[in-house]
Amino acid sequence: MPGKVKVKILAGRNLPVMDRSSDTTDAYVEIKLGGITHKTDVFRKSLNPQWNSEWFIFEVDDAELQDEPLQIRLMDYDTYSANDAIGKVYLDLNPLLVTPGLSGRGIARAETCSVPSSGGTVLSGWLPVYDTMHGMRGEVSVIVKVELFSDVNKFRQSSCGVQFFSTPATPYGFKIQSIQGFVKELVVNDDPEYQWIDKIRTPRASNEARQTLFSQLSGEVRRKIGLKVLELGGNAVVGYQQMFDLEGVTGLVVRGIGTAVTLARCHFDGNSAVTWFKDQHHGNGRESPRCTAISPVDVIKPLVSSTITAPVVVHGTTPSRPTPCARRSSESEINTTPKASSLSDSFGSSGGGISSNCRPTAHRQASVPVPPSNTYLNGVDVTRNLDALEYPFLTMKTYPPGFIVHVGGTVSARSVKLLDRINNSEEPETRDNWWTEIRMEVRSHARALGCSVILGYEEHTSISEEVCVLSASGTAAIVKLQHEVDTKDVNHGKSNTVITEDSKVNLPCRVCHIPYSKASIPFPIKLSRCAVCRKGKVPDVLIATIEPPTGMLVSGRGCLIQARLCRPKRAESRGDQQAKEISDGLPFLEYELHRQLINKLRTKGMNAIFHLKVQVSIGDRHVVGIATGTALFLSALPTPSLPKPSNPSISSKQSKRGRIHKLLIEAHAASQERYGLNKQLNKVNDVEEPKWTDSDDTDEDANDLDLTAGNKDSCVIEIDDIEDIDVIELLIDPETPEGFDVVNTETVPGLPIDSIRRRPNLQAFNRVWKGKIPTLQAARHLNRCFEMILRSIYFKLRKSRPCVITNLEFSVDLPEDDEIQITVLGTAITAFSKTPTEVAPCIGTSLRGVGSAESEMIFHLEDDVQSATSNEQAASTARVNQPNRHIPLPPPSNQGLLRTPGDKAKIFVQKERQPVDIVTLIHLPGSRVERYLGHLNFFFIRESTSIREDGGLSGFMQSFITEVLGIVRAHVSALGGNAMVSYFMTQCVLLHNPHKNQGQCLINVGGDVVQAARCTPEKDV
Amino acid sequence: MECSVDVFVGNTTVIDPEIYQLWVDGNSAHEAADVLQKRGILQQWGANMDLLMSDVLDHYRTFHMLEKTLHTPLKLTATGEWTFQIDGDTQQLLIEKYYELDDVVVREVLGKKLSSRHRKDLDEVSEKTAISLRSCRRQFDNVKRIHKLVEELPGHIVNNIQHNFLLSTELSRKYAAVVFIAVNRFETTKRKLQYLNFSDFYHCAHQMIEHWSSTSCHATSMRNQSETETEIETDLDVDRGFLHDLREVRILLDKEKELKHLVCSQLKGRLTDKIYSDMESSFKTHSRSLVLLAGNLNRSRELRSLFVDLVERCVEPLRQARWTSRDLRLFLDYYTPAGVQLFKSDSATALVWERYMKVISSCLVKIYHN
Repeated sequence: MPGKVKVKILAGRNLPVMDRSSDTTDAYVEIKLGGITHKTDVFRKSLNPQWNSEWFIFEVDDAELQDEPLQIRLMDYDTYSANDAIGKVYLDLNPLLVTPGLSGRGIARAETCSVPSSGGTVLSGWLPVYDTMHGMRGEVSVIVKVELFSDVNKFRQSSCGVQFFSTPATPYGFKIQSIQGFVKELVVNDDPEYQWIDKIRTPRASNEARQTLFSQLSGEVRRKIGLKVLELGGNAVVGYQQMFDLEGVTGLVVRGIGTAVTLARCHFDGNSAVTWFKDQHHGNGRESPRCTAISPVDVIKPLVSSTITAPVVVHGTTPSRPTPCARRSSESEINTTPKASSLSDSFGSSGGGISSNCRPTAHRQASVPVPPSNTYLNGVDVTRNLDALEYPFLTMKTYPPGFIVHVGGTVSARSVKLLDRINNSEEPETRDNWWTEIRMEVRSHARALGCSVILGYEEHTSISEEVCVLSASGTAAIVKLQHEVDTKDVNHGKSNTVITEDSKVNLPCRVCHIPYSKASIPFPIKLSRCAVCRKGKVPDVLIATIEPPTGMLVSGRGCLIQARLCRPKRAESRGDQQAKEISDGLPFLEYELHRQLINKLRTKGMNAIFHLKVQVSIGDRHVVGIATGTALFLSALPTPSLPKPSNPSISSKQSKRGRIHKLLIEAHAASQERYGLNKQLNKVNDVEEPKWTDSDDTDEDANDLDLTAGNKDSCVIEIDDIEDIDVIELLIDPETPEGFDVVNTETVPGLPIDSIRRRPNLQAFNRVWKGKIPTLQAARHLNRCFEMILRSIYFKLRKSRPCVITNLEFSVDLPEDDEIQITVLGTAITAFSKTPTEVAPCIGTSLRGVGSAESEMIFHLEDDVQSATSNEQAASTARVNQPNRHIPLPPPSNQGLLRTPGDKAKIFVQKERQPVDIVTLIHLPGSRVERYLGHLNFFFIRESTSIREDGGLSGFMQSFITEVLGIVRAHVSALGGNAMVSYFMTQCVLLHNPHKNQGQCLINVGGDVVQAARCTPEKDV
Repeated sequence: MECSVDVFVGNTTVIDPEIYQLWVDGNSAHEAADVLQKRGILQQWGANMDLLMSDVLDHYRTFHMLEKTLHTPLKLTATGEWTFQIDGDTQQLLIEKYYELDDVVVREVLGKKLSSRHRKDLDEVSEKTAISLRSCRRQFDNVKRIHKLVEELPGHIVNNIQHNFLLSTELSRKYAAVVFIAVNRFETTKRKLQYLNFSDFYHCAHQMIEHWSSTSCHATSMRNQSETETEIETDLDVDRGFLHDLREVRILLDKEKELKHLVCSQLKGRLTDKIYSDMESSFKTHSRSLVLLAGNLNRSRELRSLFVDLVERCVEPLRQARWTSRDLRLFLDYYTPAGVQLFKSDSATALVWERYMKVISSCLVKIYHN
């Protein structure tokens, strides 16, 4: 069934001069959709043409509507020679295809949803005209309308109406009625950059062919996923992730994964379900100050104070210490396959120090324990369904309260593959099989942990030459789907009745309890009694890839934790050999990463990591592993002990050891103070140690352990040589400057953001750094790079302290021999400069640790107040004067020669364009998301042959990213939105040829367009 | 740390006013970093030179990108492009600072043809004024850009500048003065005029814009009105009709005695004896210069050398006679009405005289200094 697309081209502005002789341009517009092209008239000699065209109508198949972008190309008419291209606009029509009636575009229209409203299917506004060789070249004003006749044929190829969210949570204003489960799709194509035709066409033609192809493939993947969702009976995809694998000569793979769900709109007053997230926030916000004061006795009534508690165990990314050897053998058969070997591990967390538990032997299906007694699962159909699904994976990172019953731990799997030519792109079986294998493995790891589902699931690749590392990771957990139950009952209703006998269910610490029975532990692990309820068993460290679940009890505040590792690789090896080398090295890399992470965690005096993300990147000479997470202290878990250096073999270096020990202690103390752990800690220690744990014994135990069995206590750091000393020094992160809180989660656990800043200033930022990595001391150098990048971010934001940096995301590429490119994405939340600062005391008390910064902070705040008031005055002046804006001033009076400087120019303050906020978060601090207007996914290529003149590679990148953000904002605004949430940048590939003064960059960005309203302070409270 | 790419791009363009000022002042990135370092920024924020340099370079790249947009400030605002997201106050700051003028530099540029030849000579200006060459170039280019755009626009020049470049009134008036002087090609570079600073010219130019231009409210004569109807109204042009009418004031040459009498009777006792006697003795010279100047202004060469004439014929002789500027003001205060009185039969000419003397008096007083 067709859809009808109507396009009207109104005008252009600020076009570039295309005709040098007359300094103007004769512009016209070509509008193309699929195979059809329309043209406007030529508007002669103007840089601001007014076409005001008729409506151009395209009648197209709806599958085509989903796949094909609408291409608007501006041309310069030339009588005697070929017309020149000015630039293009690619319009993704998908946001216009969601019929409001179907999936409810907005809670605001909840009541009238049965009446299809045309409001949502119109796009209009000024869109930047972009050229791959010149960047932005003016803007064009367009109106696009889509009329869709919905297709109910079951053989249809289209899936209009399925709404996509990259938001990894329940979108605001909706509730999830049911979860259909994991959906995935993979499309393979040749990369035009590597086809023969590329040798004869211009760079512009080549870039545009590529951009168009990416756009089409992206549409196709979404359409196919949409079809699956419809088959499953869902109406939306949340937590949608789409990745491009640029394999080079072997082609281009576009992968999409997400969670199919049935969304229903909540009513506006929307309570619980409206925002799981918000609830969590508010919970944290309001309660956390109190939580520091909670004595163990109070803890029993946990529901009242909803804070975060700690979960349990596990962490899988790294092979925990156990036994590289043992594992090797179990996998030997894999490695013998020359082409590819895969390795994987699941770990329960090893409690850092104590017992790491890696499951010793077979982790393949062999040890799948029977899923834990199904008590929690009873009676909930959806859960059973999930369980029965081929892939019980959910890509969301945040879940409603009560959804997660237990967190098992992080599970991950990696596989090294050798890329080969994809012969039949219609049947991309190889790639599908690769992923199938790896998903099965992840699933089996989760089962080994006694968990039925995997939350926060992600997939990544890293490609170097013909070798490709596939990674998948997630958090094994046991969940209870209560969405069929009225959401209000979530916590109390059904679940209680089902398991009345188990009082644990209602405890906030429940999430941390281990999901398996002690007897059937699949691997050695150190367990202790839950410090909150004293009933459940908890591991000593919990590591997960999801956001901290709502309602966990957290002490102090969370902070960023990162382990970085770099292993050299022989550059000369190729093909199979290289694949084998990488494959053999990966377990060591993961093990080291894990060890570093755990030791850092202990040095900070914390016992849990959330939102863990491990990235392994391969390059010609190095393999780099980065693990980033947010460390925090869960009240339910035992207090970690500080790592102790020991060097049994070299006793003469006592003094050195002492020094290191001292360093560690100092770092530990600093962290305690900085993150407010002291009070809680002492309390916990007092109560805890004598009665429930034997953490003091840890060291002794560890020493007794047999090293070969893999139970070496990671709490003891052996110093055998100089390098080990380096390693220890790496454990001690330089302190985050006062006034900054840095995490990679949505909010800082334990810090009540919303109550601190009601009208925050939001700033999504992209940081790109590329430099050399020396062969010697690469690890140390890498560490320094990261420290430098973090510090430069603090320095950049120095004037907007106090500042919270959230959702910090790192990605590493090793593009050339000895080059490393680090891309950082994050959202800085700073006090809005114009805010009246009644919030000031709040900031002072909660942010300030102690000590030196105190006085400084106070000054800072005073400054704020002053500037705030003066700004307000200025603003009111402006407002008063505004009506005069366009009226010429009266002739200057005879006397007054000069106006006072105070009122200068205020008359000319233009009405500000409504700013478009972009955040990497799923929520907008200080605002409420009212409507989702669609998912956008852009792919841009920018090329330049005058890199030096553009200010070097940095200048080139900076202007490119600036332009890309500008284009994103323009599209958000044209769709009627005023913000983008869940902003992502998944690709940033930079190629540079200094000899030709040429460079090229590819960027893939996107996110969810929303319309949001600023919360008034009253509402917010 | 060696690196090839080092950028930080926020959704909202990050502007540091302090670094922006250093850029506007023409410092190179390294110079700016040095300045900041001397101000103690490193200790204040616990940073090292690498970080500072990286940050400064980042800002400089942003400014470099912004510079093109700043050439047409309207593009920064609501009707402008999407490239930069900058709040209104910061936009205002960016524009205002970018168009900032140093009086000493403008003084050098004043009266010169705004051609690329002169742009090359700016290094001399830079040497003389101790303002960096880059800053001089920026100011030169800004003047040229604004001049080019508003030259042909009808209406009030200050408003035109304000609307097109979004500058503050104060700054717009500065540019208006420069453009006015350039359009009318006033001679300002003669040696004798070197002692005049920009604020003198600024004052005089605005006096003329206000009282002598075609759009000024003094447009009196009928002839003048009919002419301007067919022309584009702009306050950049001195009112031709008015200059033409000015020839009539030569009658005063014939009535010199009466004039002298009127003025002297009023001034007696108000001036010191010494000045009074000088005034009395050389009244003829003083008065003749003023009247002749008026009579010849309709010749464009005379108009162009207005400042030279004023200095040569009025300022210098008076200075030799050691008049103070108070003396001068007193003299002019009584001289003008005396003239009016003598024209009582011809009220039109009286008005023309008054319109002429208003500007001349004000200018003379202003430029009467060392």
